[in-house]
Amino acid sequence: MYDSGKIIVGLIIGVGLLLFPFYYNAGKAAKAPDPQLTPKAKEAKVCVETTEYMRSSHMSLLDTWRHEVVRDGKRYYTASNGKVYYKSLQVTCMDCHSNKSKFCDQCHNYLDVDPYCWDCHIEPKENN
Amino acid sequence: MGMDRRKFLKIAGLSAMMGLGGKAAFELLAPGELEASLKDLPLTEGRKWGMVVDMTKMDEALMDKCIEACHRVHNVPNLGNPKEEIKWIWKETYEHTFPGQHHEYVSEQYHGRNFLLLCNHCTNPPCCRVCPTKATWKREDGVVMMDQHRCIGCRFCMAACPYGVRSFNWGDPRKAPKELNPNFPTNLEYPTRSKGVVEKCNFCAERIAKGQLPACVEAANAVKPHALVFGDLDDPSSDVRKSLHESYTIRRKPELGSGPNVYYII
Amino acid sequence: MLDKAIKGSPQYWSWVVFLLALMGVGFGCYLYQWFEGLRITGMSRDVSWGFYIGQLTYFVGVAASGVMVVLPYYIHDYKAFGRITILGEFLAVASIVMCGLFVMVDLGNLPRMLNIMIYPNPSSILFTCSSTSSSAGTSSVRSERASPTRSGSRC
Repeated sequence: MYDSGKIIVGLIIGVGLLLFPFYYNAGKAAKAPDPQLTPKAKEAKVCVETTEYMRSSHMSLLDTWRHEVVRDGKRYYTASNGKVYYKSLQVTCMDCHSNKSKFCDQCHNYLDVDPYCWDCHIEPKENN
Repeated sequence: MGMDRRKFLKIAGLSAMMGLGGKAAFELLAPGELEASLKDLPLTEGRKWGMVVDMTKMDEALMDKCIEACHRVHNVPNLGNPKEEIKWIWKETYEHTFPGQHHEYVSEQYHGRNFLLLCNHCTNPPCCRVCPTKATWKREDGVVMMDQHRCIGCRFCMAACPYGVRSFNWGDPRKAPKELNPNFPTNLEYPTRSKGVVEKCNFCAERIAKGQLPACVEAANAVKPHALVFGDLDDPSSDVRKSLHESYTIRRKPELGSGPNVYYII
Repeated sequence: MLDKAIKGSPQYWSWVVFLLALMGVGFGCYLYQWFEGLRITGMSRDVSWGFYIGQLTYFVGVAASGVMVVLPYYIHDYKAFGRITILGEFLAVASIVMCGLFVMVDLGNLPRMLNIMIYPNPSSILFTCSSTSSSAGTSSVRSERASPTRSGSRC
């Protein structure tokens, strides 16, 4: 091929840069996320929905809530177990899960997820 | 190509018309927004929130209390810089409130006097018409609502509003000077805003949903009842309709056709 | 056409580097605006639209004028306009790109830009504006590519 020297050198540099995250972190494992419940959350036993559902879908639940509260004016949520909750991240969710850095941030930081909710919604004040 | 240009243009035009008309036809058969927006009546059903500001009962101290209450409940920061100022409710002189009404011989009791101004939650709001994403819209109950999740910060609504009620977050409101905002955020149950979105009075939508009065009305009632009257304009027996019946009221810039729903008793 | 842009004298390349440096400075300023907010522009609550919107409308006009210059050559087949057609087209493409970029830097919340497409509000002039400018952009780019006869004319 034409310019084979330049191409091959370029390929090696490119693939090397592409694979950098893998061989830089080879052999090390990041600490698994360890979300901890507050005493209030443990006492409540169950969240708005089941743990499995919350683990997989709390983002879409919050998204639906945000749409329904602001745009439709429907501020109360009837959970599948019949209980009625006030749809609010700050007031309802953070009431039980007030340890954001030990609960929410554990998984979010591990997966490098940075939800912009906290740009506006006030984080609960933690003591440490 | 087997087709010539003229035929292609005909087909393209027909399909564009059908595409656009199809959506409209669908909406018309299922009566909804398209139909409602074609009427010049607002999209309200049931309640129609409005407010009467009785300036005969208002004084500077009471106005300051209302402003303080609103800004406290909604975490509105005091940025200290008039250029970047964010205000949901504020004081404005008579000349600026009713610009067409000013003349040389205005009585001393009005000349230079401050009035209390807020979003008028117009019946035909220009801001809602121009918002490119419907981040501000007129709710069925008359409140012109803001959705800060959707706002792209284009500030068209600020340009469109004839009353100057809208404020933009030019910078991060959480970076407001601490000396001017000692307990920021003052209400932990309500969010702040981020930079790059427009905000304004929302008639305390979160409070009226719970059956409470707006923060300014509640603060005024604690000192002087009926200085601010909030209620259902569609209900003839409501307080606001009684106020409107008992006194002569004027509105800001009524000639513009936006239909403001905040009435002033001078 | 593009091979003509890559070959040039040292003066040409120094001019290109200077322009790229200006673009870099502009990009740096935009990064500052991204982090600080639009307060650095000096616009205020009373003057909420300023230079950005002014430039938007100006460049839309320039792009439209490019269409005027190009019209006789393509629509009316008046070949004598061939030499100015190329200038008009490049000017139109460049100015429509600038116009689009001015809209983008003016937005307070740029990551949500596509909300105009996802949640359109046809009663808004901005909706008409954004759809016409995007169609003007694509049409000018398409006319640029679909003209094999013009590559013979010297720029």
